[in-house]
Amino acid sequence: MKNSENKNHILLSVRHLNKSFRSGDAEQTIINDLDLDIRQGDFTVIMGSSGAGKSTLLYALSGMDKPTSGSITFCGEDITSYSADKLAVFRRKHCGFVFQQIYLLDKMSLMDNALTAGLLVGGKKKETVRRAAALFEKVNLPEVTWKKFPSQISGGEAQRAGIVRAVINRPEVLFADEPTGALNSHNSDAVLDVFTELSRDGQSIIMVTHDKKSALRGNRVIYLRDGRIFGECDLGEYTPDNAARTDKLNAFLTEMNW
Amino acid sequence: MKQISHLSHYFFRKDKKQILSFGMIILITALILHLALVLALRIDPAYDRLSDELHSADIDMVIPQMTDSPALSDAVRRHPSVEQFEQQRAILQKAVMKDFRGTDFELNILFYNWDDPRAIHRLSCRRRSKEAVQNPIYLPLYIAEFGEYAPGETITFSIGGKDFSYTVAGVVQEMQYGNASAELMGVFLPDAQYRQLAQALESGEVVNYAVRTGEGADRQTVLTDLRKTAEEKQAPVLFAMTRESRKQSRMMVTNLLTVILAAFAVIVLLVSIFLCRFRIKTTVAEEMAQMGVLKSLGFTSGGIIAAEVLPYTAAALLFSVLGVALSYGLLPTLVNVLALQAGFRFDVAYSPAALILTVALLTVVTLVFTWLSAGRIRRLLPIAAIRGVTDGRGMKKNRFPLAKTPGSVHFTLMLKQMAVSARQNVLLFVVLFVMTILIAFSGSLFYNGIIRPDHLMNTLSDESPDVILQVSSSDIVGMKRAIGSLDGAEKVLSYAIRQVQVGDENAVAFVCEDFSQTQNDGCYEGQNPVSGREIAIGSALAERLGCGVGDTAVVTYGDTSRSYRIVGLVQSVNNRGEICELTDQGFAALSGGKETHSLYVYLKNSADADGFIEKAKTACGGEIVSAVNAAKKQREAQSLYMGIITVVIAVIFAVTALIVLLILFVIIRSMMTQCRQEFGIYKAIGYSGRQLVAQTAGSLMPVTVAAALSSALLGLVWLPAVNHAIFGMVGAMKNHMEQPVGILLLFAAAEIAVTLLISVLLARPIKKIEAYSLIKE
Repeated sequence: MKNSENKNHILLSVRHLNKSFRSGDAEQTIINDLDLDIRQGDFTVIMGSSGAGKSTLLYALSGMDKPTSGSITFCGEDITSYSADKLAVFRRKHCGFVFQQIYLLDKMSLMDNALTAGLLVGGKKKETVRRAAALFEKVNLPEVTWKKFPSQISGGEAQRAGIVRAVINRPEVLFADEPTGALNSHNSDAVLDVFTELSRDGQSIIMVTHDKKSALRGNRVIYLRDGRIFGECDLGEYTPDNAARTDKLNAFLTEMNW
Repeated sequence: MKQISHLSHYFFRKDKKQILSFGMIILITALILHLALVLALRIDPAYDRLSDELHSADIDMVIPQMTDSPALSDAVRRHPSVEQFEQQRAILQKAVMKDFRGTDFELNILFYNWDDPRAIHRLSCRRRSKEAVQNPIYLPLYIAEFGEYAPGETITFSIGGKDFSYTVAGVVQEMQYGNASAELMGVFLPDAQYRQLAQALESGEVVNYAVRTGEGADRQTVLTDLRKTAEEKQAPVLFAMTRESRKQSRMMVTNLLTVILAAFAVIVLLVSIFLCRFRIKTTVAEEMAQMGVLKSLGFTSGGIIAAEVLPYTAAALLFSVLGVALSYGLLPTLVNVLALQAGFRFDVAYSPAALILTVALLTVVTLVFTWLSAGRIRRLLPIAAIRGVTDGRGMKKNRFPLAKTPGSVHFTLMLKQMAVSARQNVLLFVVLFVMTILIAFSGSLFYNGIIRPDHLMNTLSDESPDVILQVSSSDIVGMKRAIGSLDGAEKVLSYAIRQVQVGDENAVAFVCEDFSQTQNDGCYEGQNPVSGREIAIGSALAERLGCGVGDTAVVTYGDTSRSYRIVGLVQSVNNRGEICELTDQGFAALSGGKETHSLYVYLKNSADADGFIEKAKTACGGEIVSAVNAAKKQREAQSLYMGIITVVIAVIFAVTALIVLLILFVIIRSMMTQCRQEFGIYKAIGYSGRQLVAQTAGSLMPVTVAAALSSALLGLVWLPAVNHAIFGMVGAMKNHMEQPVGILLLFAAAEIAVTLLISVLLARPIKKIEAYSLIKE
């Protein structure tokens, strides 16, 4: 059911999710009995203050981390009981990741970074290479950059290469953790434009951010506080320079005491 | 100083496990090196000390008693280099010792009178039977321990078809003879038993001139003089040996082992040098940012280097001391094995020189190489280091691009991982290459000692048929025909072993009707004699007489001397190269053709030698004086060698596996530290732990395979040279060792398989690390 048009289809469903860490004798609860549904095709933005549990929730949803209790079902299947290897298969088939620190493999060219993910799910090599090339062009990375190493390009270019790697396998969900957090304004806009375009193509995206400008790109904003959903705002479809959406988000964030 | 100590402590805590691995390798090196040094520094003096304690002779010369005369003893006494001498009477017989380590063993035995007073070659009784025994005998340590005769047990000598049985009353330490390879041993009978034996045999009474020379005398020259004197007095010298030849015979295995241990220690030391270089360079790369910070805080390069080097040097010091201590635990076992072969007990003694040499060498080598390896710290600019010059920044070429490299993505990633790890590849290659040298050596030993034991046996022994028949008939041709017609006989050769003189030198003569029919051709230069005027001589004789192929040698047997043309050089480990080969016709010209020969019988199925002996006795009746199952004797000797070889191979494999384990531990730990984030990214992308383990272990395989195969194949070149050197040390100028490429590759493959297995096991912790926690780090 990849990138279908079924907007009401629930991709991810979270029930009574808890995540806590033990630090010495003390136990710290990060996610606290959280319920959440993610619909297919939504660009969901998760906001909240530091320590609210945004990244923890993101990584639990994506099978990168195991919750302490509760259930996460993906397309009706509970992934919390998966073994580490099964979760790896789940991630490679259904998820894409974009990180704040980008995390490209620094000893590989940009093309190899993309193919490392692309060739993992099988399929023909030539087709995967063609798709990677198309995606690089789509995120405005010219061919001359494909053979370069991450240390030889700018942060914005690296993050766009990271997006190519994340979406090369046509994941059901693209998880992004502060994707513009380490970028300057110009590069941030370029990266956000890629996200918007992917969203318009029907890509489901869940993005954690502190940045209001980034949040505006989503159609649904969830605000976390103390590991719970404190508020939710439906912004509707993104259009550039839409003052009404900006005001709505500002009002929501003010309401959340942000 | 305090800051350096703190910093050093930090480096130790960070690299604790790798430093311990390095320490373990140093421990192994110290253990082996110290064993080699103790053997080299202590056994030799211990041997000499024991010889001195027992007041051993420098020269022994055995002559028939009837030819001894006051004139000869006066002449010996008057020799300027003779300080002291003693005439020791004995009965010399070629005797078969029954049940010697489970087989019959033929040897020249000198039966001495235990009650005769001895000023030279004193005896030290080490073990006695707890109760008084009937018909007692005292055995030297070598016969008692190697032949497995304990006090209270019976030993039977078969002499000229008669059996003489005695009960072992005690085991004595003597330094008069060598071991079995010298072909002459002494045993000791109390006066009553001695007289009985003399009466029963009525022949073979001899006198041993035990001579002590003055300081600085050339014993070989003195022996030559004494031999000339004896001949002038009509006394043929039956056996003669110097302190040196005796020592060579006893210490052969010890010396070989010392050389092998020292070579082994050097190889492991090389490995440890590369390991510490690798770790220091890796640590500098891992800790570059911190080093930049330290420099910016005012730490000097020298201070940082000292802090970095200190844990490794301290580990080298500590573990080399531990290795030395451990070696003292192993020494008694090792010495027991050597004592069995050398026939003398060596008390394990503390050797300050060996200890200091071992510890100092390992510590200094570690200090020097770690210091040199840490030199990069000096060139590090603080700001460049703080900014973090990552490995990726140094990348120039994208090796094995995924789009173009054929094969699966996992295989290509494995190749990529290998391609970016030059430092670890160098370390792994060097380690595997040098360890494969040992593995190839053990492969060669396995083939030549276990699959084809005849190769080793033929190198170390003389002609070995399946059955040796001593016949009384003068019609040797008729006997040969009769024995050859028996069922099971493949061929029969007339063969004799006689004591002759070549020039002024005593030598064992191998007399055979046709040397081309023998199985163990010891000729390493020229050819075997064919005509009655030809001779081949041993390497030691050639050296002492200063002659070679094409020259002439005069051979004396009894009263007759004759010239022969030297046509070849032959070897004999057992007789230390003091041999010659003559044809039947050649020897008949010396002996008058009256002497009986033995018949060397080669069977179609050597396992049934006993059955054949029965058949021969039935067919030829009383004409067979004695029959020896030489095949069984050969098998016993082979099984002994096989046992030793199996132990050597097992030890080499175990040490190799341990060293490879320790090296891989360091490499994989370093890789896991350096690539921790990388593994996290792979996991986030969807790579499973199992895939990453396989990828990591697999990335080590191309280098492993290249090193193991290249080293194993190079073995084809260097193994013959090594075998030549090793066997040359014991007098085998030509060896029969072969290096089949299949065996070398098989052993290399086994090493590769072990390396792969260890790599997979060591990389398994990658599976347990969660993707999220990696990214968080």
